[in-house]
Amino acid sequence: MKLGGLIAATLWCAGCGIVDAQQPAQAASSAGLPVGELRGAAIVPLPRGQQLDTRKVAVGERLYTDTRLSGDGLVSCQSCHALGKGGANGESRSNLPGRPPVPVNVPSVFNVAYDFRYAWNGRYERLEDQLDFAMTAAAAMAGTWARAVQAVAPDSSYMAAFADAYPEGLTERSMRDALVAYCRSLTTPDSRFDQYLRGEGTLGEHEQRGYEAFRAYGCISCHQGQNVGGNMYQRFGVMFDYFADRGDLRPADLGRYNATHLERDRYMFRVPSLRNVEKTAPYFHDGSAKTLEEAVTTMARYQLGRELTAPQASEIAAFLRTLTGKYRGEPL
Amino acid sequence: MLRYTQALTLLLVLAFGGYRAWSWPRRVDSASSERYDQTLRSMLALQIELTAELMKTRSGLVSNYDGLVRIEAGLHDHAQRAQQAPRFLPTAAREQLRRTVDSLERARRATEELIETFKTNNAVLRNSIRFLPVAAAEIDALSDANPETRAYKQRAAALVRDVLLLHDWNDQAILARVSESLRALAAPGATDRLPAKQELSLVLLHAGIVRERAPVVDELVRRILSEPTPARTEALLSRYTVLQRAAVLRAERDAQLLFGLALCSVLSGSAWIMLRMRRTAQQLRVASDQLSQAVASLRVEQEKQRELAELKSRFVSMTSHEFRTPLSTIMSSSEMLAAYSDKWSVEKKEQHFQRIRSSVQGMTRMLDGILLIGRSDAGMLSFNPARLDLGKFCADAVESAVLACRADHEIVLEGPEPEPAVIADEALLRHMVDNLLSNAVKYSPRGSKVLMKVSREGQDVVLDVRDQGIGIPDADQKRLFETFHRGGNVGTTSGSGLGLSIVKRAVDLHGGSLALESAVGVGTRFTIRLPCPRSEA
Ligand code: HEC
Ligand code: HEC
Repeated sequence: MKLGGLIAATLWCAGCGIVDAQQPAQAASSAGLPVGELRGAAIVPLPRGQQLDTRKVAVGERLYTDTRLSGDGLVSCQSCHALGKGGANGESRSNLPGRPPVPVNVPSVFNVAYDFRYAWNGRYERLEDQLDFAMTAAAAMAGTWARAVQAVAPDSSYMAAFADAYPEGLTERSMRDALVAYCRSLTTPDSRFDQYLRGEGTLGEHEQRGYEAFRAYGCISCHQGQNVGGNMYQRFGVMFDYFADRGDLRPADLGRYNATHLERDRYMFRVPSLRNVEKTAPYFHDGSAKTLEEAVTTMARYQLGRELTAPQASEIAAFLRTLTGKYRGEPL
Repeated sequence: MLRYTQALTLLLVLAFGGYRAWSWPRRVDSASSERYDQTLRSMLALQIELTAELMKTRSGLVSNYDGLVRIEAGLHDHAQRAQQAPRFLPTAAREQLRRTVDSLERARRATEELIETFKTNNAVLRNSIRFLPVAAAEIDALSDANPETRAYKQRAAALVRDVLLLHDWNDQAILARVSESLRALAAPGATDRLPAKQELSLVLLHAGIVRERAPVVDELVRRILSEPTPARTEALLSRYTVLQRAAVLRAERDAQLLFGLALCSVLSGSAWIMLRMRRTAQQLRVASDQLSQAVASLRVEQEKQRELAELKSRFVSMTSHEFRTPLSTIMSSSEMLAAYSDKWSVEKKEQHFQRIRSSVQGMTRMLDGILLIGRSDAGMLSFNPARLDLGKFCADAVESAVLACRADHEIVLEGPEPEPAVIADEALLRHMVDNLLSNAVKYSPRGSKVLMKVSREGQDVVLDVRDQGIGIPDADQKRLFETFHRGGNVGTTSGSGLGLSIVKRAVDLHGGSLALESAVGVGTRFTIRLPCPRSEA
C-alpha cells in the first residue's frame, strides 16, 4: 500500500517541518518521533545557509547599486534600500532627485526570501512582480527593463558575467532574475535571539522579560515563524480603529483592499517581519512611529487592546533588538 | 533475383524510416511520464499534508504558520508543473488534461484565499483563547469586598468558562449564553465602580473575539476541508494513468502493424528473409503478450486506485477521531492548569499532567505506528538478525506490558526453556510482541488473564499469545491485517487499526508465519512461528 508511505512521509514532514528529499535514510532512522519541539514553537531560527547560484547573485549585487538601471541614471535600488540602513532608507518616505516621494515607508529588503508576499499590503505574490513595480514606478526607478538592459549592454564585463550565469545572456528576464537572486541572498541568520533559540547563547534579564511579554501579551500570535512575521495578513487595528485615531486617511492606508477591492481586506496588511527591526526606524507603512518603543506601544494598543507602561514597552523593544542578525557574518 | 531482394530491403528501410518519422513524437517518453506522474502524486501528498497542518494550527498544536505557507507554495509550484502535460500524449488527451488541471487550479486559488482568511482569523482567535484562562485567574483575584464587585466577578468568571467551552463550537446554547453575558457585562456603566477596569475590559474584548471568530474559523475549516481537491487530483491522476496507458498501447499497436508489414514483404521475398520470419513471429507473439499484459495492468491500476481511495477514507476517519480526543484532553487540561494552577492541590495538578502525558504518549504511539508502516512500504524496514537472549527479551517485554496496563490484567509468561542465545531481529520481535500484548490487554475485560507462551520447535521459535477478550468476528478475520482495518465489535475502544498490520509486516520480514484463532466473546489466540536458529557462539 503506497498510501501508508505517503501518509507517513506527510506526517513526518509535518512533524519536523523539513522536506528534504535527499535524506530519507536519516529521516527513517531518527529515533523517537519528531513531534517537533522546534516546529511547534512559534519562532524558529533562520537557516544559516541557502542554495543560490552564486554567479547570479554576484551579477545581481552589481545591478543593485548601478544607477544606470533607472530611467534618468540617478537612482539605484541602494538609494532606497541601503544595506547600511537595515535594507531601508531611515526616512518615513523617500527624498530622491526629480521624483515624488513614495506613498509608503520603505521596507527592508533583508530576509524577503522568507516572506510569503511582498509590499506592505502583500499585493505581490512573487519577487519578480515586486521588482517590475520598483523598476517602473515613477517614485522609484522610473524606468523599464528594456531601457535598463540597453543602458548596461555596452559594459563588456556585464555581458561576460551574464553570459556566464545565464544561457541566454543579458536579457530583461535575466536581469530581473539576477536582482531577484540577489534579494533572496540578503538574509540575516544568527541573530542573538536565534542563538538563544538554538541553545548557543543567552538573553539579558531585560530582554528575557521582553520576550516573555511578547509571548504573554500575544504579539507572537501574529509575529511568528522563521521571519517573526511575513507569513499572514492582519488588519492594522484589530481591537480599536487605528486610522480613525490617527486621522488623515490616505489611499495607501486601505491596505490589501487596494489589491482585491474586497471589504474584508480594508486596512489589511502583511504582518511585517520583525527581524532587524531596530535598524529600520521609522515604523509602519505610514512611517508614523519614530522609535521602536513607540511602535511597540501602538501595536499593543491597537492590535491587542493593552496599554503598556514605558518600562514594559522598553523591555519588549529590548527583546526586539536581539532579532538583529548578521549579513555575511557581520552584524548589521 | 538479387535485385529483387535489394529492392525489397530498400522498401523495408523506407517503410521503417517513414514509420519512425511519423511516430517519433508519439513515442512514450518514460522519463517525462514518470515526472508528470510524480508531480501529481506530490500534489496529492501536499493536499493531505494541508489537512493535517490546518488541524494542527486550528487546535493550537502548532503556533506558527510557516508550515501552511510552505504547503501553499508547494501546491502553487506543482500546479504550474501539472499544466505541462507530457508531449507524447496526443493533442486531444493533453487538452483534456489541461482542462482538468485548469479547473483544479481555480479551486486551488479559491482555497488559497480561504486559507489566508483562516490564518488571519485563527491567529487572533487562538490568541484570545490563550489569554482567557489568564484573565480568569486575574478576575478571580479581585477582592470580594463589595457585593457589586462580587456579582460582576461571578458573571465574568462564568463568561470566561463558557467562552472556553466554546471549543465545542457547534453548541448554539453556549453561544447564545455568551452573547447574552457579553451584552450584560459590557452595558454602559456596568464597570464604572469596579476595580481593575482594564483587566475586565480586556476580558470582554477577548471574549468578544472568541464569540465572533470561533464560528468563522470553524466555517472556514469546514469549507477548506470540504473542497474536493484531493479527490479531483486523484481523478486527474487516474485519468492520466489511463491516457498514458492508451498511448503505450497505441505505440505497441503501431509496432505490430510494422511487424505485419515487414512480415508481408518478407513472405514475398527470399528464403533468407524466410528464416528471419520465425523470429518476427516470435516477436509478434511477445508483442501481443505485452498487449494483454498492458490491459491487465491497466485493470490492476484501477483496482489500486480504488483501494487507495478506500484506505484514505479509513485513514481520515481513524485520525479525525483518534487525534481529536487526545488533543481536546490536552487542550482542556493545559488550559485549566494554566488558569487554576495556583489554587489546585499537587495531586489534582499531577492528575492533569498525567492526562496530558498519556494523551501525548497515545498520539506518539499512533504516529510511530504510521511511520513504521510507511517505512515498511518504502522498503526501509529491514531484517537485521543478531544474537538475542530470548528469555530476557520475553521477560522484558512482558514486564513493560504489565507496567503499561497498570496491573489491570494478569499477564503471564510461560517459557521459553533456557537456551543459549538465538539469532533473531530484536526490533521486529519487539513490534510483534508489544502489539499483540497491548491488543490482548486492550480488548479483554479488566482482571482477565493474558498468556504468552514461548517455545521452541526445531529451528523455529513459537510465540503464542492468548487472551479472554471480545474476540474477532469471522467476517473481520480475513481483513484484520490490512492497514487501518478494525474489527466490527471494537465499540468505543480507541485504536488506530495499525497494530496487527505492523505485526504482520514484521513477521513477514522475519520470514515467519502468523496464525489466528478467535471466537467472539471467548477470546483470541495469535501464534507466530519464526525461524530462529540457535547462535553458535
Ligand atoms: C524610491 C525608493 C525605492 C527604490 C529606488 C526601490 N524601492 Fe524597493 N521598495 C520601495 C517601497 C516604498 C517598497 C514598498 C512598496 C509597497 O509596500 O507598496 C519597496 C518594496 C521592495 C521590496 C519588497 C519588500 C517587502 O518587504 O515586501 C523589494 C524586494 C524591493 N523593494 C526591492 C527593490 C529593488 C531590487 C530595487 C531596485 C531595482 C528597488 N526596490 C528600488 C522603495 C524603493
Ligand atoms: C493582530 C496581529 C498583530 C499583533 C497581535 C501584533 N502585531 Fe505588530 N504588526 C502587525 C501588522 C499588520 C503590522 C504592520 C502595520 C502597518 O501597516 O504598518 C505590524 C507592525 C509592527 C511593527 C513595525 C514593523 C516595521 O517594520 O515597521 C512592530 C515593531 C510591531 N508590529 C511590533 C509588535 C509588538 C511588539 C506586538 C505586541 C505588543 C505586536 N506587534 C503585535 C500585526 C500585529
